[in-house]
Amino acid sequence: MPESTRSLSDESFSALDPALKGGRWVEVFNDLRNARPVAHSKAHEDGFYVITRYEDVLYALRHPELYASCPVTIPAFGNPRPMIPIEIDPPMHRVYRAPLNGFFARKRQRELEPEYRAAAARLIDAFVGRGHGDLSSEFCYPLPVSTIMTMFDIPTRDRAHLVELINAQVHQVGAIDNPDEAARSAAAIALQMYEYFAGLIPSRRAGTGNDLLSVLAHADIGGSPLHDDEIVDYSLVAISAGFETTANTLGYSLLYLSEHPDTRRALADDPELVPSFVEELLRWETPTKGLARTVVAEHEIGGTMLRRGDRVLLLYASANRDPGEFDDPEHFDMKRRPNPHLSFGQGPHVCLGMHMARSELKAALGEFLTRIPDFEIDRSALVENTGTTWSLTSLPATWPLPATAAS
Amino acid sequence: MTYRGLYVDLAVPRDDRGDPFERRFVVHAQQMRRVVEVAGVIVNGPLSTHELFDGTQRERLARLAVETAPAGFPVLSGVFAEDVTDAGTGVEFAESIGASGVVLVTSMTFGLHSALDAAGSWSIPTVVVVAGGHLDDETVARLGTRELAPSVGALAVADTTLARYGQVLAAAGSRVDVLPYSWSGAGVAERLALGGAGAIVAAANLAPAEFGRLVAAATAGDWAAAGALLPLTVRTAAVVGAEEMVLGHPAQAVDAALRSAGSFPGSRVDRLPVFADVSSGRE
Repeated sequence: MPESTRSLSDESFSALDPALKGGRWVEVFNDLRNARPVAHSKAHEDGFYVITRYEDVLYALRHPELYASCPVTIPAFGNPRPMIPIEIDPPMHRVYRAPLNGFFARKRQRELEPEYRAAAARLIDAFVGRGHGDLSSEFCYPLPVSTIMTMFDIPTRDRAHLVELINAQVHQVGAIDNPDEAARSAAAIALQMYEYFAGLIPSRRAGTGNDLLSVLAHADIGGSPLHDDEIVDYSLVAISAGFETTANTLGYSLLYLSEHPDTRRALADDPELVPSFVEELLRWETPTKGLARTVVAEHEIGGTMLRRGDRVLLLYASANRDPGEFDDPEHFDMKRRPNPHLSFGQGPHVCLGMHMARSELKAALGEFLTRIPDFEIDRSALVENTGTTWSLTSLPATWPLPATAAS
Repeated sequence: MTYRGLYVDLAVPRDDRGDPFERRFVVHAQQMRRVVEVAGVIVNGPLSTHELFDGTQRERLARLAVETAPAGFPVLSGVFAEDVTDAGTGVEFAESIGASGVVLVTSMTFGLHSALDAAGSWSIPTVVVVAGGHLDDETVARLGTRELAPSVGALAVADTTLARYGQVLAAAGSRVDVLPYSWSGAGVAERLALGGAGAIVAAANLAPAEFGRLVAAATAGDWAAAGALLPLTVRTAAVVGAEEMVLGHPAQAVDAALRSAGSFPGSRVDRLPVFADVSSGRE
């Protein structure tokens, strides 16, 4: 077997390993799940367990009394305070989630779909007439970035720098080779982001805006306002989780559609299938391959005894391909129902932004396929990165020019 | 109950009015408990919340610490006693909230032997904390000959010389666990070199895993590992000591250190976490 397609041994397993790119993770994760439900790796931190089966991942997600959510990545980001609310455990977790619930509610997000679609249209307007472009930098990233930056009312002049910081934090390039240095770098980046958001808070407290930062600045938890540092902690996770995941799900969606014209045509013929396609793409690709937990109390799972302090990677991408849960998991079925994938997590920490993500993706793909129904991505030139959320940072594509441009 | 390993005397973040920032305290306590090297935590301990918060505030903190702890994880409730009545009241409260045990802090008016006598009237596991200023030759000598109530599981010794710590160890170490208590972490390793089951360290709020490893290594006699972690304690001592000199209170010193590390609200983001560039000792 060529080196580039080797199966990783348990001990060296890392979801960040570049050798897993190009779809090779599927075989490796499936092999791991088939070999043992709970594996152990020494690739990061002081070692960690990898939970691979759907039923076990779901169990861990639903039992925060056994699996604490901090730090939520392996290796850890290095933030000095827990991210709110993702790294806060019950009972405070529910308390901290409350101020955000309305903002990210399903109904509100559905009402915003026309705005998301209009934003997608504006982006497409800029490149559709060219017949070629990088869909990652011109569409997949700018769209959710625009949404999140608008949500926080981030000044336009600051957006590019903030995106750079977030990319550096999430991708953790080189983490597998030099984890200590990566952790130090991540901590330094986290502090830059803290400083940035802290600087915005005074004006939001003084103002009457309805952006998310202003909502947090005026929020009340049990009769007391949020401290500046708490607002910063919220912001860090909302920004990071809010665009990277959506951007890359969009990227992987377009890549899939590029290579499956039948699916493209089916969606063009029946746009009502787009939401179902999105759910299946989330199961199929699982851009966030897994998140971490820390064991709180000794217990057995998957035949393995875990002890307090053990670090655990819940491998969502493996769970989403588990034949114990999904019929014919290696078949992409955009009409799959039910589709209880774990790409948004489950349990108390289920993704707060999932309705926003779904609405954005529905709007973005709907608009894209309406405007550019046929396109081709040059797979040989795409750039894929591993990380907490895997990403496609270059998606060069070509498409027939629109009739008016072509004439 | 035994007292092996590191016990963290929980720092309490405060809001802008100086009152306990309860929800952040819960988060902080969870952070400490999550660290496998932490054997247990103390709420309202010798870090002297009794000097910063009123009785109602301290009771709420204790309830929060106990209620949010995983089943079976040791949460000891601190009791500051001026007399036996104070001690009894504090113990009753600890029992009522389901604390794992009590950390009974002695004083000039309620000394070591008064505390040890009182402990005979309750059964909740008890750690008696005594400061060097309350340990004279006669007190230590009597410790060697007196009976110790079954509830007394440990003696924690603070603010004392190495020699005096050694005397307490000799007097009682074969009958109960003896633990050094330290604000900054300085001197813990030296005392454990003489003996001791574990340690209570206030500065461990800043680096619980590292202090936990230091205590584990020292109690196991692994001086290579303990030595590798000593620069950490020097650093902590410098930070907490410096803050204490300015602020005048150990709790405020630890709080300020945690703020400067970015761990508590009110962080000074111009400084990286205190121990970002210190070796963890891990290979």
